[in-house]
Amino acid sequence: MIRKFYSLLLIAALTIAAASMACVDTLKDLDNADETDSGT
Amino acid sequence: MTEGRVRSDEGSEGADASAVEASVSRAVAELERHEGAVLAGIVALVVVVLLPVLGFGFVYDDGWTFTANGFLRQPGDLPLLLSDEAARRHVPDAFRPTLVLFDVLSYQLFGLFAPAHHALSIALHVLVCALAQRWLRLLGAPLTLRAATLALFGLLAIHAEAIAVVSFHEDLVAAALGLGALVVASAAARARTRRGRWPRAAAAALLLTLACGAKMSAATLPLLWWLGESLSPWRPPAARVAGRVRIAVAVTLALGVGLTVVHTLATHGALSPYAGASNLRLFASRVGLSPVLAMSTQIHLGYLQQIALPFGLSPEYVDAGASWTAPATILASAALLGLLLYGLWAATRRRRALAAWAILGAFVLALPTANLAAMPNMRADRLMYLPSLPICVGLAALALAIGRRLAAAARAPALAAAPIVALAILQGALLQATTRVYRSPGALWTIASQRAPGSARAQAIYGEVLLASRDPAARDTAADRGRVASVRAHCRRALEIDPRDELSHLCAARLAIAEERWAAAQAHLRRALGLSVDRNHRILAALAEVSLDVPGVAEDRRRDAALQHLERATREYPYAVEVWTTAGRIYHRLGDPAAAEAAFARAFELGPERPESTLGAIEAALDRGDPTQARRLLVERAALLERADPTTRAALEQRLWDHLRLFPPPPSLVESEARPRELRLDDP
Repeated sequence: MIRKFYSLLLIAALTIAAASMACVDTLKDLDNADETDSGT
Repeated sequence: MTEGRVRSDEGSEGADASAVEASVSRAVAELERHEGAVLAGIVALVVVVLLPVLGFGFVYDDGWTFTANGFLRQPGDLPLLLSDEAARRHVPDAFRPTLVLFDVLSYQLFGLFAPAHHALSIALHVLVCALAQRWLRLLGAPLTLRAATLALFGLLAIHAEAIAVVSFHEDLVAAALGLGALVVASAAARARTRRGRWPRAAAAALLLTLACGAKMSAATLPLLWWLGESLSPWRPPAARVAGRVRIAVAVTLALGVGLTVVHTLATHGALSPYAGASNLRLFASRVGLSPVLAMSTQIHLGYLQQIALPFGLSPEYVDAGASWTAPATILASAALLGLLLYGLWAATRRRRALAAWAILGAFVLALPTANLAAMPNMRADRLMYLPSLPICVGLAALALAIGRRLAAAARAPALAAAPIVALAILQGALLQATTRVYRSPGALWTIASQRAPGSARAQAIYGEVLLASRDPAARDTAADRGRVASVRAHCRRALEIDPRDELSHLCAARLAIAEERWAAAQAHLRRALGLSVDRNHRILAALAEVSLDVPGVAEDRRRDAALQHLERATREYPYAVEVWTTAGRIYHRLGDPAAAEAAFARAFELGPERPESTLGAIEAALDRGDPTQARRLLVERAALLERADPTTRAALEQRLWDHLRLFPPPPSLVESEARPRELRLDDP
C-alpha cells in the first residue's frame, strides 16, 4: 500500500510540474521588455 | 418474482457498498501502520514543488528589511530592540523584535546568499505544516485528515507570496512559533501532574510572546486553541480536557500575547506602528474607517474564494473604499455573516464540531488583519497564511467525505482519494506557477503593474525598476530612449492615480535626475518628503545629492542645503547603507576627504556586500594623494569589486596605475603590500 501511496505522490509531483508550466504567466518581464516599451 | 429480484439487487448494492467501505478502511489502516512514511512523503512533495524558489532573488521589501538593512550587520546593537531607541533610529521592523533577531541570525549565517534564505523559507513552511499536523494529532484528528490537511496547507497557492519573498519570513516565523505554542499548550493541558503542566504552559506562553514579536497576526491563536480544545471535534466529550484546565492554560497563553502588547506599547507608544491620522499610506486616513471596513468584507469573501479556488492571486491590490449599500458589500457581508452564524450555531449545539471549528477558527485568525486597525496594505495574499489553516482542515474533511461517497457510489475504492488528490494537484500547480511572479523585482513589478494597473505604488515602483535597469553602455540609443519614455509614462500614470503617494513623486524625481532636470527633481523630492511618514532615507539621500546640482542657487546655499539633508538622514536613519554611501559622495564632492572616507567606511561596515562604498573610498584616497590606501582597498576587496560596474572599476585602476607610475612609493612599502599573495594579471 505504501508503494502505491508513493507512486501516487510521484504522479502528483509530475502532474503539478506539468500543470504549473501550463499556467505560468506569460507576461513579459524586464528580460524581454521591448514590446512593453513600445506598448507604452 | 420481480419483487424478489429488486430485493436481491438492493442486497447486492448494499454488499458492494460495504465491501468498498471495508476496502477503504483496510487501506487506511495499512497507511496508519506507516504514519511516519506517509507524512514524510507528503512533506517531500511540498518541498519538491517549492524547489524552484531556490533560484529566486531578493524582491519587494527585501531591500529595506534585509539587503540594505545595516542593523543586521550590527548584532551588538540588538538590545536596542528592548527600548524605544530602535524605533527612534528607524530600525526596519523594530516593532517585530523576534523577526529582527531571526533576520540578524540568518544574515550572520548566510550573508546575502539568496538560495540559502529561500531554503530557510521552505524549511519554515515545512515546520509550520509539521507543527499544524502535530497539534491536530494532539486534538485527536485521524491520520487521513491530518495527511490531507498537510498536503492542502503545504501546497496552498495563496501561500506563494509568504514563501517566495524573504522579507515575509515574518508570517512564517510567527506561524511556526505560534503553532509550536499551541502544541506545547495542548501537551500542558494533558499533563497529569501540576509539575508537568505549568512549566509547559509557561513555555507555550513564551513561544506565543515570541510569535507575536514576529508578527501580531499570531495574537488570536489562544482563541483558536480554546476553540480546538472546547469543541474537541475528534474526541468524545468525556475525553475533553477539563474546563478549569482549559481556562488556566488559555489565560497563560493570553498572558504571553499581553507581554508583547505591553512591549509594543512601551517602545512605540501605540499598539499599531502605523497609527496616525497623518499617515496617508493608510487608506483609512484618507476616507475613514467605515468605507474600508465595507471593502474589507468583499476582500475577505475574495480570500475565501482564492483559498478554495486559487484564481485572481496577485502581488498587488488597489486600496479602495466601498459603500455599505453597494450590492457587492451586501452580498459579501451576508455571506460572511451567514458563515459566522452557522459556525456559532454548530458550536453551541455541538453539532458538526469540525465545521464550527474551521469556520470560527478562520474568523478569529483573520481578525488581526481584517482592517479593523488600519494597515498600509488593505489586502495581500500573505495575510491569509495563518487564517487558511482551519479552512484547509475544513476543506480536507469535505474532500475526504466526498471521496468516500464517490467511492461507494462508483463501487471503486480508489476514488476515495480522488477529490483530495485533485484539490492538492490544483493548488500545487498554481502555487508553483504563482511563486514565479516573485523571482525578481523586474518580474514582480511588471506583473504587479499589469494585474493592478490602478495602483500608484505598482506604477511608480515599476517605473523606478525600469529606470534602474538601463544599460549604461547603451545610453541615447533608440532602445534606451524607448525605455525612458516608458518610465515617463509609468511615473505620469502614478501621479495621475495618486498625487499624494510619495512613491509617485519619487518615481518622477528619479526620472528628472536621470534627465538632469535638477530643479524638477528637487521639487518632487521635497513633495515626497512632505507626504512620507517613514522610510525617508532614500528621499533624504537623493535630496541631499540633488541640492548640490540645482542651478541658479548660490554655491554656499546649495552646500548648506545638502549638508542639512545629510545631517538629518544620518541622524534619523543611522543604519541605512544608502545614506552613508551618499554622505561619502557628497563630502567627497565638497572637498572633505576625511569625512568622505569615514562615511564610506561606515557604509562598508553596514553593507559589506555593496561595492559602491569601496569604489568611493578608493576614489577619495586617490584624490587626497594616498595611492597606498587605494591599492590596499583594491587588493583586499578584489572579490567584492568584481561585482562593481566594470567601467568605473577600470577607470579607478587606471588612475591608480598612473599615480604609482608617476609618483612611485618607496620600494619597501610596495614589497610589504605585495607580500600577502602573488600579484595577479588584473591587479593594478
